[in-house]
Amino acid sequence: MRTVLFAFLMLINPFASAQHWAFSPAIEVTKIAGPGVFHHLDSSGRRSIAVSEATVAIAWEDNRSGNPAIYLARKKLHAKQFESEIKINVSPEAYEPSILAMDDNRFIVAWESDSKILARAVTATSMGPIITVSKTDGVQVSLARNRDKIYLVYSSMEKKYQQIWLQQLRLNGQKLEKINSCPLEKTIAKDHQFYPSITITGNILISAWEDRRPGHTVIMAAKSTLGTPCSFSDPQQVSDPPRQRSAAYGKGHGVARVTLAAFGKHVIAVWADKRDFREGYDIYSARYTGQNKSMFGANQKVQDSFGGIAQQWHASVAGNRAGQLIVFWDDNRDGDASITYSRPGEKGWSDDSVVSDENSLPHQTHPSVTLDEKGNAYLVWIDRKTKNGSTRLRYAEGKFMAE
Amino acid sequence: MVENGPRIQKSLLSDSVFSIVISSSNNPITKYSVPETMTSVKQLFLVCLYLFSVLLTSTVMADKPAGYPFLSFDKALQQSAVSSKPVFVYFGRYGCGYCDKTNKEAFSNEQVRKLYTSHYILAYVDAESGKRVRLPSGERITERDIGTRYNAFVTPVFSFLTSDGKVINRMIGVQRVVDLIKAHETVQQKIQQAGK
Repeated sequence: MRTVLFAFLMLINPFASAQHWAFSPAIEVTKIAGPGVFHHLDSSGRRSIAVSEATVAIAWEDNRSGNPAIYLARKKLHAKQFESEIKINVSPEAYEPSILAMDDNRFIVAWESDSKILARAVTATSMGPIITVSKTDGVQVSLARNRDKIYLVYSSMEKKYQQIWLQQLRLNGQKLEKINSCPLEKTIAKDHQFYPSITITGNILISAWEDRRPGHTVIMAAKSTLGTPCSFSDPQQVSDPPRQRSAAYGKGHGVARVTLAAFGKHVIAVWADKRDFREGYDIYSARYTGQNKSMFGANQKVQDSFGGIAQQWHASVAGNRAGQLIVFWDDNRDGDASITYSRPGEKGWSDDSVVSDENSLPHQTHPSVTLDEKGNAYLVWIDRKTKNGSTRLRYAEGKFMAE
Repeated sequence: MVENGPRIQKSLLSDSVFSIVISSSNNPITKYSVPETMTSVKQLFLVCLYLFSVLLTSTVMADKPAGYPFLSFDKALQQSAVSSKPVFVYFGRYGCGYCDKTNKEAFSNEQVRKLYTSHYILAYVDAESGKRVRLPSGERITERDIGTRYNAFVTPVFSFLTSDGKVINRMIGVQRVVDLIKAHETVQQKIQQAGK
């Protein structure tokens, strides 16, 4: 019934099919490995794919060996398929890899192992040594770069509470060198901070995360400059409270999993938000322009109004210096979960589009996206026959079509 | 809650108006301006504000209800397989208002506590948590992603599951004592029918 309703709504909406990315037929990054093997694209800030010059690389975790391990697969942009993947970690268990593109077809992969954050560089022909990034313990790492400097944020337990820490690194050939580290706040907040994301615009470093200090979860953000990365501003709340009070909200309405992207001179924060609590999570956003006292502006719903009949999960956002911007998520408005996206236009966010994949399995989730400087999108996601079935990774390229 | 309880700070804004800031820990919650001339009303106002702020900071920190031996999702399924009791899953959220209301108005009931602790293996899932759990299929997912599998897109959701994770029954939103008792009876009937 919902499929019929969605199809009808698409028909009566003349803008619904307008797309500005033409997606190539999807290809496999990995095959279904068999029962009991599951792939995960679950980095903090949803950074599982990156493009460096002529190479696209995808980092994920799967349990094919019996233990969760990190793998990386690469493809030359013109090639028809991915090369054989390489294993990144050596420790028994590894989780939640985040990937960052450097110059010269090099990538940085950071991940969690034994409650620590580890990282290594991967070049076209070899891999650099693994270093321990977190000072003591760490989880949920996210990466950004400025030239040869790398900025990691992660969540670390400080006394009773998880707090957000920054670590600065330098890439020297294929070796990562630690520079300095600091908590984003000098005083420890009296509740948990989770799932940070980080990005850079100009010489401004911005991090956003989930923060429980008000007694419920809100999105908060702080900024510093590249010259003094450990001098973060006081955190500001990014997610607005609902317009009307309701007993259903309790202390707050529920937000989760913020992701950041720089586009042009601006930054956008995108997250899952349950202010309309009857419909589950929706995708919301807020913009940083650097012009206002308040870091981020008013919250905007990203998905179109037809998304209100469904749940949205796993938002991923990408932008580029030219100012292009795209947000993906998975969305079950047509019954099964589909990879859905929207872009900002002159009149707000576009109507939603679905990435069509003729050979896809019915349940498509966990998208991660990056854009190149021409606006072309590189997208990876998980698909499976049934909600609990074995998984594989799919990949597609979206050619940017100028209006 | 005493340590993190609200504090009231009064400061004079002008000759005739002062402000009251109610804060929890170091974070301002509410700021009011009160005319200085309203002396007796002002005192009453202060008391009301204090009571309000105590309520504000002490009531809605929804978590699992006290007195119930909740386990993680995967441990509950494992224990269910051994004990042959079904699993009762509480999908909650930090700061969830309806969870708190259900905790206070239904789970505080002694009959409910006895029924649920004796007939079910109890699991609590924080719908925003990144805590890792393992499904019966062997898949490792986060507590947040359990919500996508069991359609727990609001909180609270209460699901009765078999030990292999199949849904027997579920309830959405605030529950009263009578709702929880009726749900228990329904689930037990279903189990008996399935066993025949």
